[in-house]
Amino acid sequence: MLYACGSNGNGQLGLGDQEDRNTWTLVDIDINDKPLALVGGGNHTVLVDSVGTAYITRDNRFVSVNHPDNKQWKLASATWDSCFLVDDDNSIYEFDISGWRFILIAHLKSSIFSIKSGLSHTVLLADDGLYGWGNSRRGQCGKDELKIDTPEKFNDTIVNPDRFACGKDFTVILKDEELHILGNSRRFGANAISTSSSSVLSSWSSVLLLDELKMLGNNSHGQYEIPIENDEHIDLITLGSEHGLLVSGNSVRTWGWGEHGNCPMPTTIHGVKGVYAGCATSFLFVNEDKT
Amino acid sequence: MNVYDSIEIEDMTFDPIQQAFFYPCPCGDQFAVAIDDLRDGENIATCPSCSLMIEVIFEAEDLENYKE
Repeated sequence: MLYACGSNGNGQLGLGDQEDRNTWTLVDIDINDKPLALVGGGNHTVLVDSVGTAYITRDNRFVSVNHPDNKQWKLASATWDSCFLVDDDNSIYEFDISGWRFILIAHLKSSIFSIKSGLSHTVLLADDGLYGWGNSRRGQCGKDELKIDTPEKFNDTIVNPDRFACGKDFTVILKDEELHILGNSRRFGANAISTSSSSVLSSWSSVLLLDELKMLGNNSHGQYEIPIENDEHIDLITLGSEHGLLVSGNSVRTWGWGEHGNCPMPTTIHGVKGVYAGCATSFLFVNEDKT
Repeated sequence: MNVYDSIEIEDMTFDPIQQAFFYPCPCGDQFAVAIDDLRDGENIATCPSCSLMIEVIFEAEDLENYKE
């Protein structure tokens, strides 16, 4: 079962209306297993279910969108105003939301593991390295070009999807005991920061070094205040545009900027298997039968 | 005043019809500021849907690149 809360001005929570929610609200979508992907852009949400069917919010509901060649989707990411889906055959499609159609971007011979987007750029990890495309005016796609139209490889040393993440106008990469910031590093004061962490998450303007539970970057709205005690274990954690969600045991907690209801009070929910966050939107996948 | 972020003017989108600069807000709407307000010394763009604000980083001569 899928639950949602937060910003809903364009029906991006898929609840049948355009009212924001400040408590976890059941979404009317028939999924019984943990989604392969659930990502949110400015005013849309994209879900890939466990069998590779994609759903995108339209008219306040999640609507399924068929693959042009009837293949299965496996990965998805969302920029501010668009989204990208990757199929089982490692073809990358952009979904044009206003035209409601898929556009083939590229087909890679290598296998794609992970795809992540910032506001207007996207980075994917394949078994031969990292590829980037989109707005690269700040160098966030790893190359000194204003805009990159199709995926171009820029790094072949990263093999773990936990070691890269995309912010609004930057990409962060963990390698050689350092966090490297490609693109706009103004919020971090440096373009490389020493760390022992092996896993990184990014919101639009701040970054979480998971092993150290240390936030870097913007702290204008409580982004650093991760609600966890030293002796507690984090089972699930994610970052949205300027907020975070975590699950510790049966306790679902949120922090950061929550003006649209996307940061409800700590709630006890059994069987949470997935946490997802978009632009002031928050989602939980709960498998209530298998607590 | 708690400014959420600082954005350089060349990262914003200029709409010549509305004569205003826009930049995405993490709530899903967009920050906006009129070019005339920037000419008058204003440097804050606001979001119509939430309380967040950004500081626009620019020099007066940057505005000359955006003709009416």
